[in-house]
Amino acid sequence: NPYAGLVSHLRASWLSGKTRPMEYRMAQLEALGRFLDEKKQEILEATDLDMGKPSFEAFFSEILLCKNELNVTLNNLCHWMKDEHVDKNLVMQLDSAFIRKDPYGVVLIIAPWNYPIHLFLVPLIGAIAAGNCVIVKPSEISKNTERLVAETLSCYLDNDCFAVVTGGVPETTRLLENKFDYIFFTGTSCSPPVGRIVMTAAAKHLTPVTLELGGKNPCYVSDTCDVTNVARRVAWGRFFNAGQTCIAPDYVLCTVEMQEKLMPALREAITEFFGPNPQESPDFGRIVGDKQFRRIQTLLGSGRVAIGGQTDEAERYIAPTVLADVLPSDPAMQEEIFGPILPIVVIANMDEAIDFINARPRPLAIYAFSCDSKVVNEVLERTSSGGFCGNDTLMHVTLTSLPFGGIGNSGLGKYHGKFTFDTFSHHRGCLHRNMGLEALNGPRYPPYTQQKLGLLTATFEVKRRGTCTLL
Amino acid sequence: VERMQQVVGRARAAFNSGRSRSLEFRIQQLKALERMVQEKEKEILAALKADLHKCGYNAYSHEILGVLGELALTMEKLPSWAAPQPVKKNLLTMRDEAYIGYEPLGVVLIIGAWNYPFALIMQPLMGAIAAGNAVVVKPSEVSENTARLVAELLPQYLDKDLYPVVTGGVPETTELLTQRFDHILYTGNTAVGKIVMAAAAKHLTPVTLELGGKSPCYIDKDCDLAVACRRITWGKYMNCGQTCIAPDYILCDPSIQSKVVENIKVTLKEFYGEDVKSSPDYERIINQRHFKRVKSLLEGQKIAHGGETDEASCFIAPTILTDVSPESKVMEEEIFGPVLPIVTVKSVEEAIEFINHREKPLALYVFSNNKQLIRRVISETSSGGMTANDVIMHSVVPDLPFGGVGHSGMGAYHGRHSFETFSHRRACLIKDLRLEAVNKLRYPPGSLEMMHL
Repeated sequence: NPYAGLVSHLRASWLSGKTRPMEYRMAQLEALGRFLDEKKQEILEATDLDMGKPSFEAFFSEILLCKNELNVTLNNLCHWMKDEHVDKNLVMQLDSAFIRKDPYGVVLIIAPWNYPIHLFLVPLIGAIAAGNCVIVKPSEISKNTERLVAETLSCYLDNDCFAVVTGGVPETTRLLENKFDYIFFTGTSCSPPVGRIVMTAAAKHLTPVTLELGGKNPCYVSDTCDVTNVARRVAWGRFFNAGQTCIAPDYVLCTVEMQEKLMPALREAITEFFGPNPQESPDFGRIVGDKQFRRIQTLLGSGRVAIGGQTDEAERYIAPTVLADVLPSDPAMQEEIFGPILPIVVIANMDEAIDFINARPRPLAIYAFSCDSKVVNEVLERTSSGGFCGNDTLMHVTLTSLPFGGIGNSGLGKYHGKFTFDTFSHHRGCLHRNMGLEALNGPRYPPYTQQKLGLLTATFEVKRRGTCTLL
Repeated sequence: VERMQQVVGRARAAFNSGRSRSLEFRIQQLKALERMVQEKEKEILAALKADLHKCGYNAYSHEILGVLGELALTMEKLPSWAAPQPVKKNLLTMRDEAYIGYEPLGVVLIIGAWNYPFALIMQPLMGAIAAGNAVVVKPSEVSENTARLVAELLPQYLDKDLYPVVTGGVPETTELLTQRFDHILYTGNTAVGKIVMAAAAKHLTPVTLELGGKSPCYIDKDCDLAVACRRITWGKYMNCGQTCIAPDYILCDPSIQSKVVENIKVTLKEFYGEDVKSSPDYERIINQRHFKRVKSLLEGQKIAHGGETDEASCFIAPTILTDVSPESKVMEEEIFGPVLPIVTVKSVEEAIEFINHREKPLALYVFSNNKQLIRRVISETSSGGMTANDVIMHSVVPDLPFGGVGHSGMGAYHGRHSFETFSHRRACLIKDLRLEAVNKLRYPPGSLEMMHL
């Protein structure tokens, strides 16, 4: 077991209690902040080398959003760490009943390549805030970022308690043989199989997990809407990071009339964003690797190419593409696209769109666009997904007060903001009783009598207040 | 396999019909459950008596009173629990609606245990119903009378398609676990917990595992021994020791060991009289297999009190073992019987180290007049839950989450925690289609000026 030494070293640090004091956690978090500030240029360069990530995008997702999470945590950690006192019944008025937030111990964070800093750093913030020791396993596919993290993170964090492990599938498999107290896994398009592998490995040690997976995020566009704004918001969400975003709108559902209206609006939005030749725009990314490039390229044989469709294998460039009249049986509708291709599937009306969505595995996000709020609410109410955004794309995950996670095949668990801290904490129910007043305990002890039963019922029962109106 | 597929398929179709979602429907089902408990009290008590030799009082107070209380609480609080929760917005989302919506997960599986066979089905069930799910109920076959009763009663009171009961043993449960569920709550032991989680992994099904372990009980030299020992005796020997949060073993200074034994002996006489076997308030071991298992733990041990057994009636007397070696068999597995080992330690540091070198327990107990010491024990250990200066009682505070950590389990329930366990918290952001100007900040073409904004 090649990682046994590392894991037991971290476990020893954990048992020493080093990571528990708030001051320690704050200091480590502040060091992470310095990492983001001091290594900003290196992060922008590494992600550019890895997938042609435009600086603006990299700054937004890898620096700005991370700093937001860091600041929310630093500002609130003291409050989050406090014992949460709960209501007590009559008998316990002199006792103290509270929920204590205990760290789990040694946790593992496995990150993917598409937002390679953000997707390990944001969970790491919560794991440190909650008092754990952490092993971070960045993705080997974004190899420049992987090298950066492996080489520099150790200069900022306490090496007794935090470590970076690099490698591919064989290394991750060996790593998963060890016992961890929590495993946080974020995986990309082929997620279902890997998610299951991680959970199965976790089951051997009864390790709790959070799995942030993916799926095909539908985007319903109703007939009553401002086409220009819809086109911009959908294009932005789809083509950000060249489509390599777990919450990107994966496909559009709309009527044939709306498809007609949407197309020129999308064309205009794309030109507005990336100019007449997106390949020359500094604001449009590239596909991360040859294997992924070839996979996405084959999806172009779906429906008909209405916008874009150009590719350049040498650069791993795929133009911002919109496919019209795509059929449910087409290749683009069989898997999460994870690329800059937006298929439009024509449906007759909202009911058909909702049925279409509900016939498929529950996605990470659902989007609905309409000027009529009733339409948006109906789509929301009649479907199920990790999260939902009405009249925009991606934005629900930038609000740290909203939980971010999937359901069913799109994942289990949630994080962001306080939810990350809660994910990496064990919520321990604690009751601190008085040694006196033993007489009050009398009714619970044998030998039992009817009288005792009456007393017990009186003190323990929750009386139902008059709320019969619902019936 | 087909039968399981059909039962689960019907539950899923019933869930997809949408009828379990309205609050009115959920409360109506919960009310029906409440009626069931009230109308069938005699039958429930009789089943518990047949399965565990549990007397009316114990059965009522352990399995009916708590259930009725939780039902009342759930019905009262459900509208507030289920209401969408608005969240703090930032500058960019000031004009938008941002909230967390509580939604049902779908079809939930609840696997019960045999030691509190009625309560351990009812409590999770009411939470799953309250959250709007369909529920497949699988009571433990070991407590066969209660299993049979649950299978008979639920269809009489609840929607038959939404809340089916599946009975059977290991083969049936294994088959059931191949089906897809949207959440599984399992109460039982660690070994089976691993099997349940591995089966759940195949469908990426989230799980709540209520397992067990050895719950330590540290008695400080500075404490009211008479009171401490009475409370410990109550928690240890109730249900004949077959309680997942029973104090499993005692850690104390050698100088107070004999006083602890004396105090427990006095309390036992107070509770059960001179002849424990004839006390109507003392239960029996559930079956022969467990009887033999618990009895074998006595081998080679110093029996300070008790030790009498009677195989025919699965009777094991309340027993105390002293000077127990940490390496002995009785200190390896969860005892789940009326045998209380005392392991001596010289200090609270030694006790904490002893506890931390073992798997995290479901419960942890510490008795002391010294508040500092208690705070220290809490801070330097971890466990599912804990009570200081008493035992068991943290599990009856409705707002405390009840669950394990590490080998003692994952997830929690009781009260609003049940509702949250069985709900999906969906992040919702509803924006305006107008006000596009604000969005322009984030669209390409990006520029250095934009970055510094």
